Amino acid sequence: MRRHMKRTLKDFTSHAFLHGITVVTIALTILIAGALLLVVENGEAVISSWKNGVRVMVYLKDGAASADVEEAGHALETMGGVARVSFISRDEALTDLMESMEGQRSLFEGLGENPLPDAYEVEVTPEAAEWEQVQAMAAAMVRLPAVDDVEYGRSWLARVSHLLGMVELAGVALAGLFFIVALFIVYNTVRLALYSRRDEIEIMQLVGATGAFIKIPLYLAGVLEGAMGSLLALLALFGAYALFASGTGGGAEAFDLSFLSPVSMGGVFLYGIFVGWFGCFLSLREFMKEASS
Amino acid sequence: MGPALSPGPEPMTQPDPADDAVIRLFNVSKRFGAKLALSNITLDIHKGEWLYVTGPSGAGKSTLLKLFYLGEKTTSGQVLAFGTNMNRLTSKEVPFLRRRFGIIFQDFKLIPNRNVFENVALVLEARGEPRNMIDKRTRNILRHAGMDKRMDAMPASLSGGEQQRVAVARAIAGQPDVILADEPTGSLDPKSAEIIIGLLAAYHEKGATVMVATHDRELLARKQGRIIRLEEGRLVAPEPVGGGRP
Repeated sequence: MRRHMKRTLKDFTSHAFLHGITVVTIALTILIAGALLLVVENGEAVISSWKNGVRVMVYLKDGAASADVEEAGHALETMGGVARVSFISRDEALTDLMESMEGQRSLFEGLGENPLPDAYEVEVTPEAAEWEQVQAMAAAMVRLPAVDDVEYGRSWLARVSHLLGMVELAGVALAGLFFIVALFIVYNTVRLALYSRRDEIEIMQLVGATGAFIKIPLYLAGVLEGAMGSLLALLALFGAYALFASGTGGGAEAFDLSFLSPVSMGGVFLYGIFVGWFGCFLSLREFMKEASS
Repeated sequence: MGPALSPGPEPMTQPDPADDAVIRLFNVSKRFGAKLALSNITLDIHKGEWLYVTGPSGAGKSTLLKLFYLGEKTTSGQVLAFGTNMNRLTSKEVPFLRRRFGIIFQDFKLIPNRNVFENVALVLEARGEPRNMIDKRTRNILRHAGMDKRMDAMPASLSGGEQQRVAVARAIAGQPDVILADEPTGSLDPKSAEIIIGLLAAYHEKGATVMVATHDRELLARKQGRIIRLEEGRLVAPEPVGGGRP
């Protein structure tokens, strides 16, 4: 095997251009597929972080009996899909509002009586943070005797949830498609590279070289090209990600964006090796069949 | 000319049933589409024989040589090489049969991106010979072929005569039983042609069988041997000439 490896490395230097083209082709196709994978992974992270933050505001009727308010609080706490319930009195709500609008304090000067209602803030569990489920929970909450109205950013949650779902699906489909495209592009590149070396392979066959002697270095070259191509793609992808993250001025952190997980990086690397090997396998099978016919 | 070359072919590993014939053809025909390239050839080629296959271009000389190393398969008939029926060889056995032949082409067929040494050493590498043996034998053969000063040269930088000397060195590096030379001097000047025939003659002296396909009448005068003539794929005039065997 050491001898085959030596021959492979020597072949890399003597056919540097051909191997270079194959490595770059593998790198480019895996880069596109890897970029899509990165979008999908971060899309998932963004969706789950947004789902973590889904809250429902349950506004109580003005002058509701304290027993009814307490009962409503208990009903909310025991409702399925609820993570946490906290009571916000009308005074607390006004104080918070005034603090958040400190620059426009004059707006509150002629206010007289506090117009805000008492409310419960209900935090929804990530599992329940689907549009249909939150809608059903809100419908149940509004039926409670002490409850006046329920607010949960209806259309915003629905649109974002659907949009991200579609983006995720499209990303997975596109990444899958590009991984398949990578296979065919590499197959054709390896086939062309082999075609340009058909005389050399024919001569080897004529001097009595066995199939293994001819094929093993080509397979090793395919694996090496795949490994180099996928490493190059991961490096380029990381460079592009780092540039993007620094260009958003902390936006990446705010959205909790991150580079590919170690498992995904390992997967991309192994896929590159597989693509290099499989492209070589298909091309060689066809090529040797032609050569021996 | 006639330098002493490598030690000569290794002994046959399989005894031949038909006296000393190394290759036997029985009613062999080869068809390419509608064209009959070889028609009903029956022929014995003996151990240690020097044989010329002559005839005009397109007569089937190259096709006949290709049948021996399975560059082509027969359409009908049988070819026995070293007692083995070539039609029954599996694809895994073919490389091992080819190692018993040294093949020389008119266009040399050297690997362009390998230097002279590497082109010759390839034959031994393909057989899995140890590195030090490969180095020693390759240098030895190239020295005898007069190419030891150009071992690092790439084929494109060599003259036609030099390239053919390398091709001859490659053909005999594996110490084959039979040399098949297809128009080996066809593209060479007379002096280079003489050197090539000298190299082949030296290897023939060691006991190898040499088969030369040529339409060059002058070449026949350089070295005596049996002559067979092909015309339109038919063996028209077997001309046994004395002195073909060592």
